[in-house]
Amino acid sequence: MSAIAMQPPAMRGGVPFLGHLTDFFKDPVGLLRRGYQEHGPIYSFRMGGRNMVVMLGPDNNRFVFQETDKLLSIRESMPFFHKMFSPNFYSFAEMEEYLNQRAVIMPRFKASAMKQYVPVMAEEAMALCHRLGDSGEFDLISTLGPVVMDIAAHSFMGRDFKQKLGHEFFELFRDFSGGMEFVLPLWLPTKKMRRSQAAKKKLHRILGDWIRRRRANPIEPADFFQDMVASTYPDGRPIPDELIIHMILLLVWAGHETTAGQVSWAMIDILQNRDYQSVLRDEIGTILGSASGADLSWEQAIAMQKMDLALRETERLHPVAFTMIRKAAADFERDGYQVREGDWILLAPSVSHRMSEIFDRPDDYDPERFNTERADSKVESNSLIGFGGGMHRCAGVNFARMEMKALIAILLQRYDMELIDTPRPIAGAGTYWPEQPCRVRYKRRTIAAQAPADLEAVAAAAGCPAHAKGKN
Amino acid sequence: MARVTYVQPDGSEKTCTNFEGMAVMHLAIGNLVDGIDALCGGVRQCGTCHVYVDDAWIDRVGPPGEDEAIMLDALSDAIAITAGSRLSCQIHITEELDGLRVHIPKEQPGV
Repeated sequence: MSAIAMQPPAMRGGVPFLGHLTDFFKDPVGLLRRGYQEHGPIYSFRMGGRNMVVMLGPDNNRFVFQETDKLLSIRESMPFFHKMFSPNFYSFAEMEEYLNQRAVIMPRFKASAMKQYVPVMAEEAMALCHRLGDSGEFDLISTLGPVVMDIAAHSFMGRDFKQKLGHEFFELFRDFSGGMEFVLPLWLPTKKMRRSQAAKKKLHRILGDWIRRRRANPIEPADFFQDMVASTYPDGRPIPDELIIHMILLLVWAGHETTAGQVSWAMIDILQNRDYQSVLRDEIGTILGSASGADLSWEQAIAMQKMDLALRETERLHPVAFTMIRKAAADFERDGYQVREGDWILLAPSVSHRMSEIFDRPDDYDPERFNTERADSKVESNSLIGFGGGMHRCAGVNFARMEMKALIAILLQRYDMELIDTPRPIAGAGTYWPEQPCRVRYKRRTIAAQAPADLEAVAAAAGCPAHAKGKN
Repeated sequence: MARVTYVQPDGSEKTCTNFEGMAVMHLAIGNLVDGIDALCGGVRQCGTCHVYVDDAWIDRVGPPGEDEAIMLDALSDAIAITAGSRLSCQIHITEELDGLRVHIPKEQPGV
């Protein structure tokens, strides 16, 4: 370790003891951007007694992804996790246990495993259309949030669960997730925390009953839940029921909090950029024709490549997980700056994604910047990190992208929409949702009769990997 | 951006582009590249994302890490391990790896 390493430059301002805590909670992204403008890609600020070291840009992103579980720890970075789940669970378990648990979850979320979920996503999106009718207004978060939850309940617990217990589950889950507290001490007997812990007990009871029921009467073909009930650790040991419950709750929480916000931002971006909206409409028209969204297939969804670009651009402009936290497990030096064991390391997609060194005209909405066919496309590796990276990269990324695709494609095909309110990010330090209300006025479109595209031809023309050899 | 080319045992190729925080395995899975199964999801527990790094790239990619080497060693009874053998979940993609070529084995262990 070099003797001349300096402390990372510290942000000015802040108050004794609390440091920048209140600034952070008022406008976290504003604070993080100001730090970057004043000090560059590595700087620090204080929050309560904690020293927060912010690291920005692709090279720092790569460093953090590669050093997690080595120089950096993820286990100690989210204390609320222990209370909500269990200290031996997932990212917070001992390494070997984490690897075992992740090995149970991951295969169910591979891009090729999405085949079985696309019909569920389409069905729930069509159910939304049915509720919406021909015209009216809806609020993005409060309308799309429950659809995301329905898709999760239906995909992860099964259609029968969603039909019988969907509503009760949704209400309990809302209370439960109110306990994901990033800042206040968890022993504080706040009302929110008491309600969350009560909901946790009920959710465990409901899911425990559901596991026993499925053990007694397995369904065929197996769905996600049946697979989870039957799954074992890599060494063949059965997975305890309690762990299955934690996994299900984690998946629903992780999928709901983030996807509800991300899909709402994607709709906002598309509605604010008419030119690209018509690009997407053309693509949907070519692929779906005038066929009902209910028939949306995995192959069709895969072929919607412009939609992929749009979703990536929204991930860049509005990353709902706007920071990612690690804790330094040892002293180390980074770019001449000294980081101490116990410092908190922050990656900030919300700032990194808008650095002009990395992205041309970073505040513009330009999905085509991710079009790799374009000669001037030049986005660096480790630049787009909305889903994290490295070994802890979001397990549900393929599911989330597919779900957003299905929902948006079906809404765009069916409705002309416009924003009523001016969208802005919600204040505060939770997930970066658009502030409510953010309403959309919609009216059913007439769609000229048109056959869906010959998918093989579309896919081949687009270089779709699923069709390269007619398999997967 | 960094492009990685996956070469199938029959010689067919597919090139995929990374701008995210992905490993060679993630990029393959996300692009539905055949032959990389990654049953454990990228935590060097299963060996089903094994690839042969093209000879021209072995130095730049570097050798396997300690845990990965133990895993590869354990697999050497079941599959052919060579100097270019790596678990693709452990090759984090950087700009320096733009142009990387990896060869996909005929079979993955246990698949």
